[in-house]
Amino acid sequence: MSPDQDVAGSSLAVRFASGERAGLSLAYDALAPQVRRWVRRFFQRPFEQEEAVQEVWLTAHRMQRQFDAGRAPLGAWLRALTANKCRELLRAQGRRPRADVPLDDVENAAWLDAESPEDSAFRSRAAAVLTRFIEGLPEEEAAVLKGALVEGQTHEELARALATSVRRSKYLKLKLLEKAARDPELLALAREWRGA
Amino acid sequence: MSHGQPIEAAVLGELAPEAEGAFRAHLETCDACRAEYDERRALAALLFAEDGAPSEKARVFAALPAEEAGLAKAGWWRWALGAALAGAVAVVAATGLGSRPAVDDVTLRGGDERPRSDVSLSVYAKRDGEPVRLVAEFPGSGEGTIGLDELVQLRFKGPALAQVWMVDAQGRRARWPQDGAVSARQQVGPGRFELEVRVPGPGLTPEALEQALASKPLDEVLPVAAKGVLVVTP
Repeated sequence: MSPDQDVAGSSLAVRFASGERAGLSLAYDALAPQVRRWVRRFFQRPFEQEEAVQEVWLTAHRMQRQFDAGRAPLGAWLRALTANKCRELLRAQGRRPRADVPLDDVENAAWLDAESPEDSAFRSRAAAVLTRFIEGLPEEEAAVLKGALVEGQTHEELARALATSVRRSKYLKLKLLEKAARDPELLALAREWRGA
Repeated sequence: MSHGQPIEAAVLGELAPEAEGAFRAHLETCDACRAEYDERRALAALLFAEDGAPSEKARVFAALPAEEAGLAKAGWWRWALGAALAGAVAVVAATGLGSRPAVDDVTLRGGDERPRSDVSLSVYAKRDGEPVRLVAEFPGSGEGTIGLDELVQLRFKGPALAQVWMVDAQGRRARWPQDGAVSARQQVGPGRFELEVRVPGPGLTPEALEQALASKPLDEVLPVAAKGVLVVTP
């Protein structure tokens, strides 16, 4: 869902504004990917991103009743909240936002919806490295990786596709992660991408 | 904290919630483990196109005020809120329907059974196009009804961090929303429940209060300062 789509009058926005836990859950299901993407513009390291994402949703929960579904789309409201929270977290750590973060927010931090230049440049390089990595894998591991990476399959879907158990698909993922950590090129890519 | 498997398992969302909580607390203070976690998370995101940590939603919702989370799972929060708001709410006495509680039940009293003069609670309601009206007040007359087409709000006087809670006949507890009036057009169920005004000890910040509520028993963090009884009629 685009954050600026007209959800102001939707049941999602209304339920969120009610302050119900279920309303927050619906908003999370609809907007969590956007929140993560917005947070990534402020924080590079995964652990910091995850902590910031949690803070954003906790703040959203505290402010649920202040959201006016008649005044702004929920996505735009959450986007502005995310930008403010991330700046606040950085300030609390005595840090400045990254260079591509505007000093002032206009239009409810709409800049956050533009793709990060780093991400777009990175994507084509990552594809080449991943292709090389997959080509060197045994058939079963390659199938797991393709299923997860290309098709976004869950453990259950992977298990069904490979005619194996969920436990084995989890094991294979774990094994893949360990193998990837021993691949210098892939590891360097990951470190560069997320500041790891 | 050992390196290796626990980090991989955390990255893939395979740790039990308690173990994950402990693990993340460890990451806060251990640069080496955090660096390794960051590296593995970045790899997992690359390999499996994982946008966020697999356990993100569970962790976010577990961090919300603990009392509400439990009640939401039990379905009580929704019921209680709706019941309190959407039905005819009679404070102390149901008007014509339901039982009439003893007068003692109405009186706001301290946790030690003595009245607390610094705490009071009022129930307000409002219909479209009409002014806000005072429905009931603790202590005081303590009687009134609220219709389905009304908004209702509780207001209490007392220390800034005081909270109002409801307890149903089964002893399940839910916090009354802090801000704003709530629509009465929600699903309701009749019932009788207590209203508790809970007041934390001095010196707590709002953040410290939330943290304490997430980890300690409610009565320890927020002892009851006063309470009354609400009866919700069909």
